[in-house]
Amino acid sequence: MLFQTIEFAIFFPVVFAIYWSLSNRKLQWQNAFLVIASFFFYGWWDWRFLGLMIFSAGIDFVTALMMDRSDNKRKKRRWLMTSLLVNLGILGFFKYYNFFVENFNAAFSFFGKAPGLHTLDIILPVGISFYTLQALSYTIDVYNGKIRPTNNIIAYFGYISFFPQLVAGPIERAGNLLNQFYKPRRFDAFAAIDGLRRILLGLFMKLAVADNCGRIVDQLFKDPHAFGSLDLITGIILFPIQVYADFAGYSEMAIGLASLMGFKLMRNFAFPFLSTDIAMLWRRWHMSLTGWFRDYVFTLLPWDKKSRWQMTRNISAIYILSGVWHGATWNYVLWGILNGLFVGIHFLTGGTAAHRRKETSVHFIITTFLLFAFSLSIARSRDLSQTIEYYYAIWTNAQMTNGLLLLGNEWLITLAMIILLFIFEWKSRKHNHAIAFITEWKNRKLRWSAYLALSLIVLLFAGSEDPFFYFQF
Amino acid sequence: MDTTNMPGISLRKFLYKAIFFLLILGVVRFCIGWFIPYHTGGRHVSEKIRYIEDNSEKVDIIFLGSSRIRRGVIPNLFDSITNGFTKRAGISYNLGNPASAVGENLYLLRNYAGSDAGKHLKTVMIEWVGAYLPTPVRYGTERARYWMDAQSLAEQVALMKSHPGLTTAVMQEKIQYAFGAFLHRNLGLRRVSNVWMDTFKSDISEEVTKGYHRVYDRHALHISKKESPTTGIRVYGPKQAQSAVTNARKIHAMEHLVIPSEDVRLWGRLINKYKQQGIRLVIMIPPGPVNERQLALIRRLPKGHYIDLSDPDQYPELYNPDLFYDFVHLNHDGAKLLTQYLAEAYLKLEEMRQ
Repeated sequence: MLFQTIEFAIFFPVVFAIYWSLSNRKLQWQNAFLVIASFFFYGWWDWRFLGLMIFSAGIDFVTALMMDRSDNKRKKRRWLMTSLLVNLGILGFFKYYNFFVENFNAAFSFFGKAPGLHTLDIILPVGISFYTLQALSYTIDVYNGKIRPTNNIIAYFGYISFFPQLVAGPIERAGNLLNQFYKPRRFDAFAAIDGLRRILLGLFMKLAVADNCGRIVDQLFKDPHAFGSLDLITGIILFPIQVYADFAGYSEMAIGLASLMGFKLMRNFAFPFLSTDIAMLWRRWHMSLTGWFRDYVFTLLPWDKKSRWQMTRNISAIYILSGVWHGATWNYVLWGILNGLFVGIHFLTGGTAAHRRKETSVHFIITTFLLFAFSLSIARSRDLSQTIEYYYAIWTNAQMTNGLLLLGNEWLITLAMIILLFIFEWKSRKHNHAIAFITEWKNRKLRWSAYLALSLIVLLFAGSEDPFFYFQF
Repeated sequence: MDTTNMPGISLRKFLYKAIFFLLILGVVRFCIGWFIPYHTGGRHVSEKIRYIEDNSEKVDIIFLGSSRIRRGVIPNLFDSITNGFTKRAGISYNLGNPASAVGENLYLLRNYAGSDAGKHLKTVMIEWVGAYLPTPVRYGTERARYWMDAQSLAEQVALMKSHPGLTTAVMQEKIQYAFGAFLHRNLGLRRVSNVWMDTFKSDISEEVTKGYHRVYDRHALHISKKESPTTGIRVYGPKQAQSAVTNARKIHAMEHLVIPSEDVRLWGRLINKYKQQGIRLVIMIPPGPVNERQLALIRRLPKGHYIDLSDPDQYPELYNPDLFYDFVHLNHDGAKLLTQYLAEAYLKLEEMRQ
C-alpha cells in the first residue's frame, strides 16, 4: 500500500479514527491496534512476507530477553550472534543470494571450472533492509547495555512494524521509538498540523518532482543512443534529484503520518543538496542509515584516533558497505567505493575546513552536487556495461540534436517543480522541513493559500505513477 | 483555560480544519478541471500527437476512440489492405486513447485538424459509444468525460439494465469504474491506483511509432481477474458471451431507436464542418456491447459517413469469445479481424464516393 494511493487514503483515516477513539482506554489497546494496522499495511503487499517479518523480529525479541537474563558475557555474545545470524542470514538470502551465486559461477568459470550453481527466482520482501537494521539496532543496544530489553511484546512489535516508517524508514532506534510506545499519547494539534504540512511536502516531492524527473530519466537511461550529449548529461543531473525527492518525500510523509498518530520520528534528510562538501552531504542524506552505520559498524572498526589515514580507510569501508546495502550489483559496490573515495579524499585533505566556508558558497554546493550526481549515475544503470554505454553515448552523441528541451510542457513542468523545491529548501534551510518557512507568515489566509496552491500543484502536475525508488532496497 | 492540548477539543478542531481545507481544495480543483484540456499532462496522448505532427505529411487517416479502438485497430494491416486497392499512398494512425470519451476525441480532432499538420488528413474514423455527447464548448475539458455527468451515469445504469445476462458483472464494473474515475478526475486524485489506469503505465514507445502495441494475445476465457484491464473481475464466460450477442441482436432488431435530436444535429454539423476542410468524418461502432443510442445515430447519418461492425448477424466472427481479451477489448487475433473488416468497409465507402 503506497502512501499516495486511494487504498491508503481509505486505510489511514480509518486507522486514525479508531486509534484516537482508543486513547481513553488502556495504552495497550491503542498499541495493539497499531500493531494490527501495521501488519495489515504490510500484508497488503504480500501476506506471506508478514510471517517472515514476525519471525525475524520475534527472534530478536527472544534473544534480547535471553541476553538480559544471562550474566555471562559469552552467553550474551552467543545470543547476539544468533540474532545477527538470523537477521543477516534472511537479508543475505533474499537480497544477495543470486549476486553471490552469479559471481561465484563467473569466478570459477574464469579458472575453467563451472560449479553450475543455480540462481533462484527470489522476490525481495518489501522493506526487509529497513526493518532488519531496525531490529538489529535493538538487540545490539541491549547487548551493549544502552537500553533494557522490553518484555512488552505489543510495544516491541509496534516498534518494529510501525507502518509509517516500516518499508522505507527512517530506520528508528529503540531508544527513540520503542520508548514512545510505553507512554500514553495525547493528540497534539500543533504536531498534527505540522504532520499534515510534511505529508503535503512529501506528496509534492514524490509526485510533482520525483515522478516528473523519473519520466525523463527513464527515457534517457533506457536508450542513451537515441539522445544527444546534453540530454544525457541532463539525465545525470536529474537522477539524484529524482532519488532525493522520492526518498525524502517518503520520509516526510512517514514523519508527518507518525505526527498525526502522536509519534515523533527522527529526521532522515536535512537539505543534502545545499551541502558545500561531500561529507556534509552524506551527513544530511539518509541520516538514519548513515547514523546506523556510524553507531553499529564504524565504532567497531579498529582505529588509532591519531591516524587520519586509518579514519579515512574506515570511512571508505562504511561507504562500500552502504553501497552493498543499497543493492546487490557491482554498480552499487562501485558507487560505494566512489563515495568512500570522495569522502576519504575530503578528510585526507583537511576537509573539515569546509565547515568554515560560508554556507552560501554556491560553487561549492554545485560542485558537491555534481560529484554526487556522477557517482549516483553509476548506480542508476542495470549493470556496469550499461553505465559504460551511457557515458560512451555522451562522448559520441555530441553532434546529435538534443531533443529533451523540445519536449515542451513535460520538461518545463519538471524544471519548474525542481526550481520550486529548491526555493522551498533554501528558504527553510534553518528549519526542519522545506515548507516550514510558510509557518512564519503572519497572515493566516496567505498561509492557507500557499498550502492550497501546493496541493493543487501536486494534483495537477503529478508525474507518471511510479513506486517509491527506495522500496527496491 | 488553555484547551489547546486537551485531546477531545483539539482533535475536533483539527478535524474541522482538515475537512474544511479538503473541501476548499476539492471545490477549487473541480473548478479548474472544468477548464483544463484533459490531455495536457497526459503522456500517452501527447506523445502520439507529437509523432503524427512530425509525420503529418504521411498520415492521411486517423482512428479515434477509446481503448477498444486503441487495442482493436492495427494501422499497418489496414494500410496493407487498402493501399493496394486505392491510389492512397499515405499511412493511417491509431489515436485511440484508453478511457477517453467522444468529447475528448472530438477535442483532439478539432485541434489536430485545425493545425497545419492536419491539412494532410483525408479521413477520420471515430468511435461512437453512444454515451453522453457534450456540446462543443465543453470538448476536451475534464468535464467532457462521460463519467463526470450524472446524466451519463444514469444512462450507463440504464445500459446495464438492458443487458440482463451481464447485469451483475457490468454493474460492478461500471460502478467501480465510475467511482474510480470520479475520484481520479473529479477530485483530482491522479494517484488512484486502479486496474483501468494500468494501460497508462505501459511502455508506449512502440505504440507511438507504429500506432498499435500488441499486448493482448490471449482470449477472454483464459485471463485472470487481475489481468483484466477493464473490470478486475472475469466477466466474459460463455454465458455472458451469448448474452452480449443476444442483446446486440435485440437492439439491431428494434425499429424505433431513440436519440436526442440535438445529438444528431451536432454530428451532422460536425460532418459538414470537416467536409469543408476536406476531411471525411466516419462514425464507427466496433463489436462488443451495443446500446440503443449508438444505432439510433447511425441510422440517421448520411451514407458514407458510418461503419457499423456491431451487428452479430452480419459479423458473427467478431462476437467469437476467442477474439476478445475481456468483456470489451479484442485480443490480437480479434484486432486483426476487426482491422480487415474495417479496411473492407473503408474500401466500400471509397467506392461509394467515387
